[in-house]
Amino acid sequence: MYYPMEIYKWERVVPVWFTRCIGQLPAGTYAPDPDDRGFTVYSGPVVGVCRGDLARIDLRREELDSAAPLFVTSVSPDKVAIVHPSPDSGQLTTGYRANIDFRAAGIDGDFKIQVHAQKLDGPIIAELTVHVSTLLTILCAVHRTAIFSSPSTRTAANTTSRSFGNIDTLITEVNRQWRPCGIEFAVDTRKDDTNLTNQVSRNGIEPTDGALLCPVYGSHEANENFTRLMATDRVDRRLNIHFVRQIRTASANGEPSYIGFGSSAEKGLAVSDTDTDLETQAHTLSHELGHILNLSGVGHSVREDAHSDDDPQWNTSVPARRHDLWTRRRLMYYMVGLDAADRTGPGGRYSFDGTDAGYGEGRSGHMITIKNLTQDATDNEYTDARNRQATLFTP
Amino acid sequence: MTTQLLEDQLNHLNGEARDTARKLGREALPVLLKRYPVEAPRGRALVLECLAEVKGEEAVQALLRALLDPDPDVWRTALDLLHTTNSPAAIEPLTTQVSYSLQARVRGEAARILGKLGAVSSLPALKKQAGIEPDPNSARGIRLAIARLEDGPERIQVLKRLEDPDPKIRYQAIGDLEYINDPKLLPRLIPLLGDEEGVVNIGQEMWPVWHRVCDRAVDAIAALSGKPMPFPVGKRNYAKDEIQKARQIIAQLR
Repeated sequence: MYYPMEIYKWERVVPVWFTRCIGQLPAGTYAPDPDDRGFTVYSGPVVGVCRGDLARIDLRREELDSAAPLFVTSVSPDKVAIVHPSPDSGQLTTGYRANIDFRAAGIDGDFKIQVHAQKLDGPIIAELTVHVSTLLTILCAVHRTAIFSSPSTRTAANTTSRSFGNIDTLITEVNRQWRPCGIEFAVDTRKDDTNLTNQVSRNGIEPTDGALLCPVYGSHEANENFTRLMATDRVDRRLNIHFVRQIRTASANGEPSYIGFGSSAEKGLAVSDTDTDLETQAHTLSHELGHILNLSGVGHSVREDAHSDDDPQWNTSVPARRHDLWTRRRLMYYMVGLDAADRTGPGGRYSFDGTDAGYGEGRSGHMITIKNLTQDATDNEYTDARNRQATLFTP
Repeated sequence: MTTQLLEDQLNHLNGEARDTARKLGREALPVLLKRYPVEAPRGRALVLECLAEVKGEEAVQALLRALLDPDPDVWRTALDLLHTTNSPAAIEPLTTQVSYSLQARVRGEAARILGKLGAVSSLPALKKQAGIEPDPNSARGIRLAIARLEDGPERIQVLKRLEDPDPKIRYQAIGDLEYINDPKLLPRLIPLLGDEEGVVNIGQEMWPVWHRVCDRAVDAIAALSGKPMPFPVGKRNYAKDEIQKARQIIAQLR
């Protein structure tokens, strides 16, 4: 089959494209999102995995017949071994998407996977860099926190309904999302007797049992009750994650409520009960952890609670917001969702079309950038996060 | 509180082992020293944290040995803990690390710890390494240590950064001045008490609170003056009258 194509002077042809696998995965297989922003730095896309990981990436036949014979090889099979298709034949399945499974060995570094046309040693039409990392750990203390004021006492009604098992499930999903960065969050301290009992009122709204009472969004008031929460039963040298029943605003109806938020200064987070799906819950927690680890930090050094869309509300030095699909695909995109209803302000703060960034309709993504492009002061997140991990608890 | 409880907690990588070790004190040492070599990386890091709770020379020596651990989380844990769990006996091994460690971060942080230890005898090694250190962060740590240990060109560099046009640099320089830990330098902070540039968000993303250069200066005055401040200190914006009180504290020290 041939594609007719009118070309004026010149045109770049992109026959194939590496992309995140969106299908059902075999147990124990990761599906990292490649950093495919531009062709510089890594001469193509780069994907992060940890030592020993089995990972799946998809190859899309973009400007190529879906039956075109394609073959995949590893330049360093002792460092990154192709598992599927069989390395002997190396032939990819036909169709628009083809899975490539590979396993990283126990060596850090950048290793190439190449796609060849027609035969195993045919011309190279695409390259993927696999960035293999040692897994770094951030230790966490999780609190099943009750919130009440005297004369109340701790009860099921004012305590998070999450069990430690439920929390472990959530953290497992968070770790799946953070895997390409080579960082895991490990819970080694579980507190089942943490009680926040000294909340203060806000805007004349009295605190209610079970709910963390926060200032009105955009009020620029300090969040005194969060500060008090962070001081409650604090565990040193650990990220303190408090699971609470509800996070509400000091408004007449308590709205908006929040799934969670964190603070890099406090090295802690609050996460509320919610019946939203696990991926969205984990995305929220992953995003908040991203703030603590300086993801999207403009200039890569100072913690600023920045976002991939460079929102000037948080970054006074940023003149404009970004609107491109990559920005929406990143973990540090401002909103959890891309639908208009998820955005604030009249008509939403962003007026873009297309709300599928590769994670399903209306979902923002989990991508953590690896490349450090000169045009983007908020990228290089892989390195920034790992640098921050190294110094998180340094006196 | 028994060593059996400690063993159980270590078996389960339970962070509460640190509290148990602290309560057991030296009684925990045989368990911890026996387990360190046979643990996986997370277990080794936890044992080091327990040793730091027990304190004493055995703990310091174990932390120093752990700087050679192949796992980054383990040697970084040891490095962090040596900032607060150390002794004069650590000076020589840490000086060796500044010169010979293959890890840039170990070279820089070992230098900063030596500065805290007042290790004037390490100055020749620190100066030599400062001249050849290829890693900019480590070189900065080494120069800071030198600035703390002697009143020379490195200290002048820190003081110059207090006047940098970039507020992020000024903010960081205040932290460096705090590290140098010389109360005689406090008057250098007076001009910065009027510097209201916001640098670090100490709030949360929905409720940002920008820590200003002047707030960081007040924190440093609280840390260096040795005087109790007449208002709550730490992670907050200070009111004008509080900043004025900080100014008065410096005046009283002159």
